[in-house]
Amino acid sequence: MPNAIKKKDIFGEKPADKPASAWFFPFFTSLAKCRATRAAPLDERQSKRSGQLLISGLNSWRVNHQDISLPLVVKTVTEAVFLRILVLLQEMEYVSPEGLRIDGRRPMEMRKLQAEIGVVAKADGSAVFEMGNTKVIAAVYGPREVQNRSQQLNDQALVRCEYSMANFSTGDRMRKPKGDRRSTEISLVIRQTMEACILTQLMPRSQIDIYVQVLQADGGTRSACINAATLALADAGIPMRDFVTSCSAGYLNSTPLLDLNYVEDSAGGPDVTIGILPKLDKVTLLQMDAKLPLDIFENVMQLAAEGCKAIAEYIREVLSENTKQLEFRRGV
Amino acid sequence: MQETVVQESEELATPGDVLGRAAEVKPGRGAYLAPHSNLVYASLTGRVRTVSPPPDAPDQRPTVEVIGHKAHGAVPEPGSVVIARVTKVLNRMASADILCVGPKSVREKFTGIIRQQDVRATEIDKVDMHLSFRPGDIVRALVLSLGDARAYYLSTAKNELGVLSAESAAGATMVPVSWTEMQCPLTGQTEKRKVAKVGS
Repeated sequence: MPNAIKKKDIFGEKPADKPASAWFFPFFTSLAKCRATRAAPLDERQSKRSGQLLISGLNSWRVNHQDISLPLVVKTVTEAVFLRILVLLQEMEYVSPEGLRIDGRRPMEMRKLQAEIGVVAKADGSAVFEMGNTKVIAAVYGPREVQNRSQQLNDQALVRCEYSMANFSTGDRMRKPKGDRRSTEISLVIRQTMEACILTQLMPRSQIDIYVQVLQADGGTRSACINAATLALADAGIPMRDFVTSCSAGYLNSTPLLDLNYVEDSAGGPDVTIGILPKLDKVTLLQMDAKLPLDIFENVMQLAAEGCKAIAEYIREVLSENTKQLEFRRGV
Repeated sequence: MQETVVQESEELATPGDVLGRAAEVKPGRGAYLAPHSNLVYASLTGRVRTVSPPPDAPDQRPTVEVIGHKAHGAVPEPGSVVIARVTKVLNRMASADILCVGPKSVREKFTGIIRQQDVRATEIDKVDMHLSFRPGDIVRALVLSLGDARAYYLSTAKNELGVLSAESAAGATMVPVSWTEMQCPLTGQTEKRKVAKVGS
């Protein structure tokens, strides 16, 4: 069996200036050609010998004098369709000519922030953090005794983090909201980010548990989780170098966009998530899973950092308001 | 001895706020010194407090602290007097769960061990653990040390330390008779304990 059919064979040579819809035509015609030139079994003697071989023979196609099997054609076709969809999406308009995004924001505008402290009575510290329609709850337990003694560290505290998504958090209900690759990765990211800001050496032989759960997902869940975890840690009274705040930024339609929502996030463009210590001006997290020219990347990262600072400002406000409330209730 | 001056400001601090330069202030609780910038930062949320040092101290810098609002649970330290409930009595030691440290109740579980040689001050080699404690007894004890990885070492080797309250076999709370005996008010039976001297 020949190794692969080239996309060129199905679509013909691809001119750059053709509109996306026109690309389908050569695809259909070549499929028709496939049907027309469906070859008789390669070795007729073999196929006559057994039914099994006859079926496999039926599955063999002759295109451009090459023999390919049916699954290979199906695979190539699906690949091609996905490519088309990608192309279509890239031509979608994420910033209107008036300079407004799909949800009506300006490119450098963040979604509405909303935070509440002390939402879980049993936890030592807890917070709910909302960025637009993304809503995350975080609970912090500790510093407490290490549960698994083999993990105990004699010079610093052990920080553990568990990220999960509620199965009602997305549009289509999730079957298993915990323990998949994505949540393990985000757990690790949040843990490393929070470890960078907690003064762990002050609490040796103890453990700090951070539990974050996404209640509503609308893009930027990992940023929202980090912000919620920061607030919950501050509420728990765990000593920190500085807050970590996180924000994402992307680049679509040649425009840097701050705080992507789900639609913009799933456009497949670059998405830079950054976590910073705003007062110390240090970066603790930087993630991007796409390619971007360096000068544009710097712009996008700068934008995300500005977003982080705005979030830090808001978190400070919320915390001092909460402290004043506590003092008032105690009658200080 | 002169008292140190405590100055509480109206200022609220959040983690990351600069509280002063390292040359001028010393970091106390809720504050830390960043080595790269020689600045003192806050690490907690709360009111900023400045404590000036005693006049004879070699270091004349005042200490800045941030007083947070979260009350952490009490933790036993060597030297503190604790109230514990006996859970297990063996030949050479008794285990107890610490309930209170001084006047405060604890929020987590801490276990303590009273070893045979720490039960009383005299004739320590003749102590019978089973004639000193029973599971369920409420004991006042002194924390000797942080002990091993599992438990604190406790001691009852003082007059005011030992069993405060115990139930008899009949199920009534017993009355102390002497420093080694308690009596059941229902049956009149006496049981052996290392009794604490309460009051006076």
